[in-house]
Amino acid sequence: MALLLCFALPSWTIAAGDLASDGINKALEASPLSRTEQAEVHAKAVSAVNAGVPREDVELILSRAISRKADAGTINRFLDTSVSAKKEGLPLSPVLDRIEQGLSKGVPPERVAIASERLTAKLAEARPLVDALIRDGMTPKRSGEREMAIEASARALEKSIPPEEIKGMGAAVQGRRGSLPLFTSSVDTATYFAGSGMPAATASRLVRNAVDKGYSTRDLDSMVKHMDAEMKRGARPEDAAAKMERGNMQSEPAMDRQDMRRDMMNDRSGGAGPGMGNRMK
Amino acid sequence: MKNDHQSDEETIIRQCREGDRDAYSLLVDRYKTMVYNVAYRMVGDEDTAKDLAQESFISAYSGLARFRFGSKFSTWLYSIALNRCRDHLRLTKETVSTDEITDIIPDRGVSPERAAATGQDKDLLQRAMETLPADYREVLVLKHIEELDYQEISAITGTGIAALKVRAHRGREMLRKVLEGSGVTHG
Amino acid sequence: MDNERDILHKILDGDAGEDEKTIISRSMETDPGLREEFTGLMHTVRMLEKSERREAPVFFTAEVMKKLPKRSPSVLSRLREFMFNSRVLRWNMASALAMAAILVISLVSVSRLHRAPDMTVASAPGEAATVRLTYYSPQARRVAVAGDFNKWKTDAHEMKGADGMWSIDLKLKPGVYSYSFVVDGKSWVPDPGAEAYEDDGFGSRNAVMRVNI
Repeated sequence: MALLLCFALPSWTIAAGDLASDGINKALEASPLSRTEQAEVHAKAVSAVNAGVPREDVELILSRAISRKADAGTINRFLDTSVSAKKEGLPLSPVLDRIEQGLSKGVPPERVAIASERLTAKLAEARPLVDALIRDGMTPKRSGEREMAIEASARALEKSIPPEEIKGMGAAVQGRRGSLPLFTSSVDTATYFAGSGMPAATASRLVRNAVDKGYSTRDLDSMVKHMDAEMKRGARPEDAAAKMERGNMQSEPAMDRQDMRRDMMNDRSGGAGPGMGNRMK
Repeated sequence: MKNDHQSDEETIIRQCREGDRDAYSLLVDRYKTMVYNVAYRMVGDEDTAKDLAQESFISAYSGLARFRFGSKFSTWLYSIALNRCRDHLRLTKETVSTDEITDIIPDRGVSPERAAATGQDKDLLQRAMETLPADYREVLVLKHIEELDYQEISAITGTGIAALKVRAHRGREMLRKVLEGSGVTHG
Repeated sequence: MDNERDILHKILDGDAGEDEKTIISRSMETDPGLREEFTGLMHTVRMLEKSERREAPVFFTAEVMKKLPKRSPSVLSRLREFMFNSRVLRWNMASALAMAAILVISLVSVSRLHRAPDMTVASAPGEAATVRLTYYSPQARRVAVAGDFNKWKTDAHEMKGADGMWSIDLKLKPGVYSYSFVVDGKSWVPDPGAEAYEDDGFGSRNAVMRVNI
């Protein structure tokens, strides 16, 4: 009886997995993968779901990867990355989002795998940085804020913005008794500039100066738009940066408005938008 | 959609009148690009355009008590901005003698199409616009850049539609000639 | 000849009747001078219509707000104090921000270029808000929105198109979202009217929008 159970158990597990993972089966059956490969991917997919990766995402990634003609090895990389992010307690949504986005956009699956593995590594690097800021008093006030900050910092690291610069932006926000969402916006802004061709040091200096002057999330968005417009006109990033610095030096933002808001809303400071981490779902 | 727009503008204007200064920033944000561009097209200098545009908003704010609901805030704003531009142009006497016009287009061999391809179009257009008398320039800016109809342009400038059309016709012909670098019209 | 020139201008003003247009096209067939004039004028008007809009300088609004007179343009300034108090009672920051979100709307004038997203908002915090996205493309046959809110599906949120103007209303909870327009199922175009942008991690860009309470 016990022996029977021993033999029965594994197939029960698989059967139970099958029932729950009809989508996974469907996707695999439609694929050009060999039977062995299908089994391997299937097993990985099921254990990903068991590890806590949302089934909907696993199914979506599988079906997209297959439709983009990803090979089994690459599909397994997607699943492995997701699982390790989950197991390490890193924000999972950015990783899933990146995989889903890349595959949807038609980026070659191998590149998507590389990009999501890179992001996962950077998330791991970014986490202690953000947690240090939180320990120093930049407390998250809403769920998702910490994760968004970690994601923003990870993207900054991807753009080769050094950790010191990220810490510098954190210090600038702290100096203004700013919130975690403001930190996230600052880092995002610097990342955008760096991505547009500005040297990382220049990008973060620009943003630090803006934060020092009390600029809100909305003002930072304004900087992004401005940069964008300058670049469209063919300006080089350095020139756009120089122009913005001159602009920075000439004008102060609407401090009165910010102060008023701060008074009226006692659980927030700095940013205009609460920026709830809705990238994490 | 237009009704929603107007009704929430009315709300903002009422709020400003009741003491909520901050609410005005919403109107400024909404119309700053429009006013700045009109000013830039009229005076041809970014810094001046910025100053004039900002002054227009400040002036509009002070006059909010007088604003009549039922009319468009944008109409009023355009007219304040254009008045400021006209004053500025009069003060700086930015009129170009017809002799200078030929110098403005650097390479008369360049066709407008070629200029467009090399991205020189915009500066060329602006420089050409600046050779036009201010009232011709105004109508062309409002009609073809801001894409307003003559009814509204008439409300903004306080000029009759027939006169505006004459200015538009003459303005277009003059602009065309300047752009094509083929001779110059007087008056 | 003058009469024909007048008609040319009527065409450029959008005022010409069908019969007038017919007269002109016939005349242009036999009169190269007239054709040249028409083409030249059309080109001139096109240049104006296509001329680029410059963004207002950064912090334009902030500077204006700083320079505004302290006194409100109130007709009944004695009631100002009362109004201020009742404002605090009647609204909280949530609804004030809602007003702000409503007015991240684009300009009133019909746009031939792309404009900023329209955002209107539900009154209760935490509730989904309706965001309107618009995109102008007369050549597109279909346009959809893909973003992190729908796992980048290119067929989940199709936009409605009329006269080249595409739009969609999205119901989104407060937060920050990355998204892009997908034209004809294959071209990814980050919303030209977006408030902000981000690198997508693959060498392209996404648009970013904030949906506030």
